[in-house]
Formats: sequence, structure tokens, C-alpha cells
Amino acid sequence: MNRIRLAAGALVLVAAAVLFFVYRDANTVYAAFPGPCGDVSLPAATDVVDEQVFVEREPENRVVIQYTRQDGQRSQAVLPLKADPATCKDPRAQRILAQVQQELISLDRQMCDEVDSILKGKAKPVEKPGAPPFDRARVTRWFETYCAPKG
Amino acid sequence: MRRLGILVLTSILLLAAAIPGFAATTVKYYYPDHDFWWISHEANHASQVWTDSTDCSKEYWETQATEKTKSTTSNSPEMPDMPDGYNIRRYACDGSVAWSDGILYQYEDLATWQSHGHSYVGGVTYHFQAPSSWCSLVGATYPCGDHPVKIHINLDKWSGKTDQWKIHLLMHETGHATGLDDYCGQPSIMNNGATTCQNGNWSGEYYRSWDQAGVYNAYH
Repeated sequence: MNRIRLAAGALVLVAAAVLFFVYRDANTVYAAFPGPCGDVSLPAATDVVDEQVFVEREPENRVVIQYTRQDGQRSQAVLPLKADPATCKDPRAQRILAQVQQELISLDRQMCDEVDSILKGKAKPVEKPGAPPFDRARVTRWFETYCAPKG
Repeated sequence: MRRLGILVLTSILLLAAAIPGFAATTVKYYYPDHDFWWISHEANHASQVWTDSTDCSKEYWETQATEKTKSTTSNSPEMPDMPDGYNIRRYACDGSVAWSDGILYQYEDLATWQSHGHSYVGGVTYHFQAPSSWCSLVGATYPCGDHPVKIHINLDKWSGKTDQWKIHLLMHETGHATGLDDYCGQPSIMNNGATTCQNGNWSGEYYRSWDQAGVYNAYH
């Protein structure tokens, strides 16, 4: 009798686990492996009423695009952040990934340029509520770590 | 028999945990860590989120959207330790993201919009998780939220629309920026315009009590 109960319990747990993964995968289009972009396909541009993009850095290194369609159905596509955009099968995925990669380079450069100008006295540190007070020694160390040319 | 009961209960709980929003009554976004460091890490969440813009001619709508967002979330009983509400303010329109900016409104003509691979919607909110370098610059530990959030606005949809529509769009996307998801349970600034979402209703330029509760939950 105990064996039957245990078997039934194990069955319930397995069913729950299967349902978990079926549900998750039904709502997610994952790229198979990091590296190449993969064959993620995006919904038709005119079938979408709402779209958000989440650029997740380390350790995930992925771009999550979430869609709501005209009929209210939701889905998401996941692109590997460091993949070559040209390897994305979907042309819109190619454009999104290329743009995000370009944005990240530009954002990092902007931050270094801004701090460089402040350290050289060409610009004043912006004093805003919530921003930590400007600490020249700390910011100089930061600049040398993240912005100074290597080698 | 008791063991079986426990197993069934565990299975139900597992299923509940697997379904995003299963137990949620608010509109907090279910992705982790998509919020503003400025709000998260200050006592009483008093820090301001500053916006920048790529187009100075949009000042009227941006100011209306940020002021309505702030005024309809301040001193809310739903946000007891956030007396300043969603403390947002339009700061500049130089088009660049300073290290202390939170949001950039970025206006794009149709060609640019399509070249970025967007769907044909009014706006797309981009959450850029702050790099570890930025976290260390502000004295925070990685991960430390989003920096910046860029709200891309589709000028092809924007042109010809009413002031109300434009302000609503900016407020809706700004809601995404702070960590709110779409919400269809009741009339809300986070209704998404789908026919199945409050019959596609797209009006009411203010935060209702459940929207306020969503902001509160995003930071607690």
C-alpha cells in the first residue's frame, strides 16, 4: 500500500514538473545556445500593441523582448546579447540586437567622456538629489579602472 | 494518505510559483531588478528620477506627463513611505544620457524606427541594466537596477494625435520605466490598448490606487 502511495506521489510531482516546463516554454522563445543568435522569430510588427526590451548584462547576457499582441496574447523572445546580429534568422531580431549592441558601446563611451570632462575641469559634476557627492579621488580611480586605454 | 496530501499541496504550490502573476494583485513587473537605483536605495525613496530628451519641442507633453505622474502618486496611502511618489522631473533635452539621468525620451522617424526593428507601436521602453562600472561609480553593488531607461517614441504614430494621447503614451511608457507591467484587470495607466484589455480603452491620465500600489510593490 505504501508503495502505491509513494508511486502516486511521485507521479503527481513529475506531472507538476512537466506542467511547469510546458507552461514556461509555451511563453518563451529561447535561443538554443549562446554564441550564434539562433532562429528566434518575432511576431509581425503590425500585430503588436505593446513592446518592451530588457537588456540584461552579466551573468545573463541576453536581450529579452516582450510583446503584447492585438488580441492580448503575450509572448517573449530572447536573444543572446553577445551574438553576431547577422546570425539571427529573423531580420527584425538582427536589427534589434545590432541596435542594442551599438547603444551599449555608446552608453559606456558617453559615461567615460562625461567623467573625463569633469576630471579635466571642462564640466561640473551634476548635483542632483539622490546622486552621491562628487569624490574626486574615487572618481579618478573609477576612470582609470573602466575608461583609461589598456596596454 | 497524509503524505499524498502533502505532495499534492506541494505540486499546487509549485504550479502557482511557475505562473507569473498567479498571486499578483498589482502591476509590478515580474522580471527581477528592473527598477531605478535612485529610488531603490535612498531613505524614503526620495531621490528624483531625471528625464532627458532628444527633442526640445516635446517639452510640453513631457512636462505634463512627468508632472501628472508625480502629482498622482504623491502622498498616496498606497505608498506609505514614498511621500514624493514616483518622484520624476523633466531635466534637460540635450539628448545625451548623463550618469545621473534616469530616462531618455528618444523620438524616431519611421525610417529610424524600422531600422531599430521595433513593432509598429507608439513607444518601446528599453531597460538597460546598469553595468557594474556604473554601479561602482554611484557606490552601489552590482546589480543595481536600470541605467538608463530609453523610451523610444514612434513619430509616425505620434503625429496627428491629441495632446491627451501623447501625454498618456509618455505616462504609460514612463510607468514601464519604473518597473510596471501592462495591466488589464481594471482601468489603468498601464492598460495596453489591446481589444481584450478594458476594451482597448486608452484614457485617464493619472495613476489610480492600484497603479500606485504597483509602484510601491516594485520597490518593496
